Amino acid sequence: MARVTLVGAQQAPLLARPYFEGGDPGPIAAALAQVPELIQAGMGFIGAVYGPGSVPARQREIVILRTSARHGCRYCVAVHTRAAARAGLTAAEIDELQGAAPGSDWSQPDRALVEFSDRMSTDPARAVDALGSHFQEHQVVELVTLAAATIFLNRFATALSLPLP
Amino acid sequence: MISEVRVQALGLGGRLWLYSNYHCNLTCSYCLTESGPAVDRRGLEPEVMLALADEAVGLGFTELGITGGEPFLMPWLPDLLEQLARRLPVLVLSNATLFTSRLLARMEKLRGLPVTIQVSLDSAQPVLNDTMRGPRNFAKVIDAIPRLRALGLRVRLATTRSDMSAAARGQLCGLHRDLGIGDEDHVVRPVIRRGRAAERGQGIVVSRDDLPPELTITAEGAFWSPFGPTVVAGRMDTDLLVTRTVRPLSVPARAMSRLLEGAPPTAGDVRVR
Repeated sequence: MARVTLVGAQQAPLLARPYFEGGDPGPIAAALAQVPELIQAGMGFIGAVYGPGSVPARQREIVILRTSARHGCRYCVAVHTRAAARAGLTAAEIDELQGAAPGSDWSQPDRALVEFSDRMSTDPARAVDALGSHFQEHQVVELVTLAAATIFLNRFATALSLPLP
Repeated sequence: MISEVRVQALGLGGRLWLYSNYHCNLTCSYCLTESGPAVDRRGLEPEVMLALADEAVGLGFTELGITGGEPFLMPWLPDLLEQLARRLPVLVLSNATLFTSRLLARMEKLRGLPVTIQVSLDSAQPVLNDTMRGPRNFAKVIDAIPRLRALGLRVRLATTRSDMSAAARGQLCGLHRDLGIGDEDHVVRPVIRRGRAAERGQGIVVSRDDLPPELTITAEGAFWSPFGPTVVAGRMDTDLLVTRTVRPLSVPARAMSRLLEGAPPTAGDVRVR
């Protein structure tokens, strides 16, 4: 059970109403709706960071799922287990991302992303080093933003005990 | 620049409403805020209200409205009203049942200042009025009005009724004229289906588009209208919440303006005046 009231459509504040027009907006938006001045900026940022980017979806999901697993976020792991499958990760790969370390059959760029995600959690000053030369500079910025936003959402969802989808 | 934000440019109404508190000595049958003696006070501190008034002047608001709950339950209200009224004209909504000689003596300092007291009276029939507003309410209000006027204060009368016959209205208008309150200072408004009225299935349903945009500040955030921060089952409604941020006042004012840019024309047929 969530630690705060998840706002429903009937009580959606004026600035939050657009997010409820298509039905249940999900627990992140429903929680942010408690502070309507945050929802537009917050959901806009989340939408931009988690939307399509220059890094392929499969690689983005590696970062999100690995980061979420390292931070013990049950909500984000549950959501992105499905998203990772849609992005083409196998069930075995998804399991490995939630374990100690990836197996030997991962590509070098994907292994770099796992190492990068781990360092974002434990040693962020050296995280970018893990990406090596596999990514362009703007992709590095995109990946750092993605991992940092994921850590934010990990904490947000865990602290508020957002219900699993 | 915040200093360049002006209420007129933002398309907001000229009055800034402040909910001083939510508790009340009465428990009226249709109360929007479920106010009563034992409810959460949800009060704005007087220092905050003064700071908001200062910001309101800078933003170009032309009037302040104080409502609750019963504002005169707050012991500091006469002093606050004096300071607010030196900044902008003030309209205070009151049930007019607390005006003891001692309180009225403390209100002497308001003489000559632009303070209007809007008192509630729902019928010229004491029994009917008191059924809605509480025992001996009619007698207390009738006693208070001349005493407030004797302080030089403008007194307005607000009647909240959805089912008032022409005869009943005529009787009430005769009464307020006898009390020296002109027709321009008598407001009749319908019961709104929010708060206690909603729980009892009373009144008319309103949406944002029915309510003129009148920025309303409470201890729990800024709302579209004084009809917004209503309470049901002890929880404040958020459907007309604009922002949780109330200071600087330009934050909710700008948010209101953004909402207005995308809003249909306001019918504006329900007003708290």
